[in-house]
Amino acid sequence: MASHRGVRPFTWTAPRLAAPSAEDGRRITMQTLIRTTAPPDRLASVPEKWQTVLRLADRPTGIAVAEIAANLRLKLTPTAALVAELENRALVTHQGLVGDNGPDTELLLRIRTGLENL
Amino acid sequence: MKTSDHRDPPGQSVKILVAGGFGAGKTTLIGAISEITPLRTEERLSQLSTTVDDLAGTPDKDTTTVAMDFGRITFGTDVLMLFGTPGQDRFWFMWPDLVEGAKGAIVLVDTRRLEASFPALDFFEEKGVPYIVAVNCFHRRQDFNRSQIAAALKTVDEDDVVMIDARERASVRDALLAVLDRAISRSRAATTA
Repeated sequence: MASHRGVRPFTWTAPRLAAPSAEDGRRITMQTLIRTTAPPDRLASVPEKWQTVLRLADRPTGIAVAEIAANLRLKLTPTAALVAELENRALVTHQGLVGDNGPDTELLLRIRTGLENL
Repeated sequence: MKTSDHRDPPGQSVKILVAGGFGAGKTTLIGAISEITPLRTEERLSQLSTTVDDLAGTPDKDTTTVAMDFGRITFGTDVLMLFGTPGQDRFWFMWPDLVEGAKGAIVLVDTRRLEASFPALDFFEEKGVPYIVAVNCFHRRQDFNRSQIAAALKTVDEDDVVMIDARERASVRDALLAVLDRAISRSRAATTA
């Protein structure tokens, strides 16, 4: 309990999920899809927790930060920080890097069609 | 099918919020349509804006942990994500990241406690998030009609009220379609503006 004293990680009202960036589109949020870019042979050389993320994110759609957090039993902020670290090491890529923040009508229409056909 | 290339970017996501008071059926709704068992995701927030009596007996007075449900449905490389808001409004209202990027919201209401949904309706109105009001009717039974419920909610249009059974996939799908229609209109309006 006393260990928290002086090491308060978040003193603001609500933590941002990652360091704010000038290019806001690059920000990692709870809904950001993360995809593994590392070749499978690099997996063995990284820490176990990273390996878990790289396995979870090794799919064409990628996996949401919120889902990684739930799987790792980590809160969102540390999960986003972990993902940012993996991105820095070119082990993963994410939606924010695609830079698609324009009109999303097409995407919404595709989702709507998909739902209709469920 | 094309083999997954590791240099390809991930898919695109659409975020929809599911709000409603404690026991309104948020987890049930997400579970009815999600392709995965709803997951519990947590975040730590400070309690700066809560009143003193809220802190009574709380061991850590600086922060509180909020939990939300997460579910998803994948269509090709597009992913529809559902985020169930924490049960207590006062916590998630001060969580900007939760509402950020949300394309729409479902506000689940319990007709026995309509007033419990007022803060959420006001919140989405203020943030400009398109929403619908979903009235949970177990076994399709409900003593009030849409017009009566819309009138009781004051700011809500009758067309924005849908009757659902949160346990039924088809019913939840229809509610999501209604939200998407509003999100699509909003997006089109923003494009032509």
